[in-house]
Amino acid sequence: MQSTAEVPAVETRALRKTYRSRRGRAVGVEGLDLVVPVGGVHGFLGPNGSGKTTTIRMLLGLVRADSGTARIFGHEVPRHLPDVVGRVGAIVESPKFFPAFSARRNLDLLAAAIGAPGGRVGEVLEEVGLCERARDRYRGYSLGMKQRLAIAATLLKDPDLLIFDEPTNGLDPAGIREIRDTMRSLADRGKTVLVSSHILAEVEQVADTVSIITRGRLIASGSVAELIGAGGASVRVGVADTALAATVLREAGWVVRPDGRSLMVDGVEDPAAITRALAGRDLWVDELVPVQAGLESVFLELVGKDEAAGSRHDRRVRDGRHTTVEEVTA
Amino acid sequence: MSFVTAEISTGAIGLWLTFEPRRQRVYWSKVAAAMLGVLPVVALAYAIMAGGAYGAFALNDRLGNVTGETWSELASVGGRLLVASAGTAAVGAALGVLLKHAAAALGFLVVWVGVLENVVGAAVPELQRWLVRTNVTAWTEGGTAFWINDCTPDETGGMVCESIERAVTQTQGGLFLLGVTVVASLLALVVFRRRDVS
Ligand SMILES: Nc1ncnc2c1ncn2[C@@H]1O[C@H](COP(=O)(O)OP(=O)(O)OP(=O)(O)O)[C@@H](O)[C@H]1O
Ligand SMILES: [Mg+2]
Repeated sequence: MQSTAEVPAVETRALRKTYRSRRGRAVGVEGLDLVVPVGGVHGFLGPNGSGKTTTIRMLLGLVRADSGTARIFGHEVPRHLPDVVGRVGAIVESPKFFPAFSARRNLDLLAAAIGAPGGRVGEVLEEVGLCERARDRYRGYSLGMKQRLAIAATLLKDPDLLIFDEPTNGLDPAGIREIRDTMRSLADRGKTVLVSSHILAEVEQVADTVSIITRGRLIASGSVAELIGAGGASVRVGVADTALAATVLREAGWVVRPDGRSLMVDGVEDPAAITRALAGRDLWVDELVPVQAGLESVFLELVGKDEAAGSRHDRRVRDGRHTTVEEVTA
Repeated sequence: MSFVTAEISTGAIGLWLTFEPRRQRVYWSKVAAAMLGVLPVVALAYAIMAGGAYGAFALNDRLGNVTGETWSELASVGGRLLVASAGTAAVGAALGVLLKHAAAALGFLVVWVGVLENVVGAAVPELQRWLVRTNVTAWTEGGTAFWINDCTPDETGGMVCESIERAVTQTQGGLFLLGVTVVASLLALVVFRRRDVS
């Protein structure tokens, strides 16, 4: 299935999970095909209740899938999870430690369970900046400190794949930035980071690739750049005769869409080229504004479309310029 | 018991399972931990009790009655008590896993042994043979007995009742406790292996 010989860090096929609820069965994840390449930060995005946490739980063998398969580094999980678990560090929602124990004691217990070397606990506490408070009881920690301890715990194994479910939940801006930096530096050291979030600006800054899911299905995936308009920003072009200008620009190979009384041109590397092209046909630009579409607007657009379209399958970003699921995984 | 359920009810088990996903192992390690927690306490309590008895004998100057046989008797009762405690710990761990909360598991035990068994024992005396209480006693004390009333109508239309003693052997007690422990453990293990953890 993969175009590259490399085995993806995470791969799911038709993964499905329903929960029993009072009103029959509630769908958690509905036939999810997810591919997370090895290396880099992979954003796992979706609105509340779209199935991110459920997917992560299935990957970790905490929740049993109804059907479908999941693999981590090529090992089928949960069956062969024991073979790879040493390479996977994960935070699922807000992890629970023993409230009466200190951070250090909690980590010592975990370290002992996996046979981590003695100095490791100190190292990871250092890494997340918890050294000073490491002897205090977990019970008295602030949300941000708890979240850091959780990250420290995932680092104990020195894993190749880190799975963070909303790691910045409840953190202040400085804390958010620290976690972002931590994720970046992990990725730079060759680790794969899978981070779920709905704070898109966050993910946009750190993620190399993203997958977007709604209602338990993948609706888009690819690199951030691809999703938000590869190779450059969109440019808003103000011109008197928009119809003619659109034709001219399309002939010149740009992707153009109307945007109110101006035109939006996507994927522009050199805005001056637009001016030149239009001027050549005696069309004078009165406005030329680069617009960074941003992951957020793409996300909202996609999710909105998905919700409007029901379960229609073929979903493309803006006039088919962009990636669909099938293209990415094919 | 609270040791076992602490992880489940606080949710720490989810974190643990991301470190050790082999649930069967996790389960048995909990049972082992419960036993390790219980055995020293029981052993100590029994030693203190035996020591107290010895002291009492010594004070009354009746130590002449204490023979080697007494000691071996004491030791074997102690041994059986420890085995019974280990079984109880395993059943406690199983209940903890099944019911998820220490209070629930404890409540279950109290209601079962303290209330249900009394009611059943009073209502259908013959069933006393299969009560936990009877079998625990039979095992630790080397056999026990219970009485049932056997009533037959007499010529005048009244009832003549006689108390009949029924013996419960130590072997039955041991096998019964073993059976309960195994069944509870396997049930809890199956549930724990399949359970969705959040
Ligand atoms: N234990 C459960 N029992 C019943 N339904 C559940 C359970 N866990 C999740 N669900 C349902 O499954 C769906 C997906 O939930 P999930 O927690 O995976 O979403 P999410 O993408 O992580 O959302 P959020 O962004 O809010 O964390 C939701 O509709 C939710 O109500
Ligand atoms: Mg979630």
